[in-house]
Amino acid sequence: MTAPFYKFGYFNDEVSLIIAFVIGLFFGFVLERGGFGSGRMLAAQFYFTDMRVFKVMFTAIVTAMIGLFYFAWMGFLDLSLVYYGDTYLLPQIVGGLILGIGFVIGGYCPGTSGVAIATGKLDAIFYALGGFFGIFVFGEMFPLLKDFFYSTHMGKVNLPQFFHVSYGFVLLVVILVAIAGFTLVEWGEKVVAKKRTENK
Amino acid sequence: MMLKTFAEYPPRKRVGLLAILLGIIAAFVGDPTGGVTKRVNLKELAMIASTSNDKVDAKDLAKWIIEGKFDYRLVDLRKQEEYEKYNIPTSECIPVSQLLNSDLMRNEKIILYADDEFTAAQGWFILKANDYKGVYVLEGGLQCWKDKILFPKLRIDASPEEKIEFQKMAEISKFFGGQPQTGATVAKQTAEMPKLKAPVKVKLKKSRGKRKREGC
Amino acid sequence: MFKFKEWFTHHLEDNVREGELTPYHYTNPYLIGLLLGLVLLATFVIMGRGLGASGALSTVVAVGVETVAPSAVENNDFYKGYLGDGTQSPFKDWLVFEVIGLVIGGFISGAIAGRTKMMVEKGPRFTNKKRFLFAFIGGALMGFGAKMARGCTSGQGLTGGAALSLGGWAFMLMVFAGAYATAYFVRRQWI
Repeated sequence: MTAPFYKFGYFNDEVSLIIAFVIGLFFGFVLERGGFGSGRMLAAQFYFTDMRVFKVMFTAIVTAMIGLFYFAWMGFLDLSLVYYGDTYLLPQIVGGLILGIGFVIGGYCPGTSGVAIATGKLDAIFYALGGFFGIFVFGEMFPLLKDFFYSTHMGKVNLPQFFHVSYGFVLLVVILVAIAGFTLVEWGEKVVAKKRTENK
Repeated sequence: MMLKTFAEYPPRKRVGLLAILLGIIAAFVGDPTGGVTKRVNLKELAMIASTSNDKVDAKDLAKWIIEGKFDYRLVDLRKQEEYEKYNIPTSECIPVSQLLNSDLMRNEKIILYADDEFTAAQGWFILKANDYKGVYVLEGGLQCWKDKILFPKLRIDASPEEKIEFQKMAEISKFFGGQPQTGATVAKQTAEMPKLKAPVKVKLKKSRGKRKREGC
Repeated sequence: MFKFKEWFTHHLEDNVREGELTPYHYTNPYLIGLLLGLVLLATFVIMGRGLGASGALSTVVAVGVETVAPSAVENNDFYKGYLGDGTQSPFKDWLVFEVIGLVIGGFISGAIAGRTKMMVEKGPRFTNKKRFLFAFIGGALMGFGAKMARGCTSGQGLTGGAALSLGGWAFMLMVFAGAYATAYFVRRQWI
């Protein structure tokens, strides 16, 4: 067996949809279990009271990243067949900024809003409606945005290629930055919590 | 001493240390894909090559195109310029050197062709060696396509069955904008290649099925 | 010993918000991160792609626009990308099925932990009406931004991040930058 299984044709498209559903189940379960179904919990991230989003996202990235690296090293997984989008630097920077602003105003991101709706958060329904509206506006404005949308195309480029260093070195740097970040954040949370109790 | 301290760490610190360790190893390994070599089952490949199971007859291909059967991808392995001059309708141009960088999927049915069978066979081997499952070659290449489909010939001393068969082929030939050659016109050696797309009445889609969007 | 069970269940220090103990039974964030990473890794190994969410919303929008005004879709590459070539339903899509699973999975987890009460997520000093308005505006910005960036927090952030994609990392840094820059102005909503 060589991974990715789908791309080696071990199963067909219909089966892939069932797998999508099962993976979605796990994805949703883990998100809810982690507190991502709560807009307040997510927003707490941006007021330094609870750094859950940062901790969860970085741990997940580091875990999957290490897994990808070692599977590829063992020859079990063909890394070149793992899809990730092409880099369009400027649209992604601008899009990220807009999404970040929307994140703190709306309280969710697309995936977490689904989990929030499932657990009865009424505001998440409005968030999702807003999401549809935003996508609709983008779609209608697409002819105008087209040039920008396709600008600064850099192809399928990853950090090791961009910085001309080895894949493993980037791995080490990301892990060290993540752990330093976690330490800092743990310390920061305690400081903020202490200040809050003093103010009360 | 060291071990005892390690055991006393809370789990998250232990996992963190493990992650750092894995990171350090990774930094020494460097590139995870650099050293991977492809193992090819030569015997199996030779077995397939000796049978002609993975050749597609030009007539069958022509029928599929007319019927609008799109469960395969037709790949033209020639250079872009040659492709632009003439190509079999519904094909897409992927030169041999680009085969492995293309968006062909390992679970797709892929039909390769070039001027002759030789180049197509090279492409066939490259794909087969990289675990592509359904790779086929157009029998006789583009040359055979010309002879059989675009410019089918009717011998002067043809039997009635052959004449009926020729009528069918003439229909197919016209569909692709070719010229059936009967006894009188056979003498004309240089039949012109049909202009791209012009004579085909039915609008043909590219042979690729729904392109799988993988991003958000 | 590795106290796995203790890790997964109720964790006091993680359930303290605003100095009070909340009824929420959330699991340790690092463990959740590890599990989420394994789900993502499984997706990479099985499918050769990552997780996503906003793509499913886009499919719904594209189909909606096509139903109401088919001519509007004709010359729009953006909508077309979500509709396919018409040989099969646009909803027969990987992300659509994944998001259906996500909603159900979220509900199962919420039901187990007793978190399915109807409520509005907001700070104590904010009205429901205003919260709904803000949620709509935030959602619209998110939808627009996610499409501009070709993905959302899961599609670009998680997937691109783990695959070390340059665009994914640039995107993620900007999400945090945008959110932290705006947080101060909407603090009444949350604190």
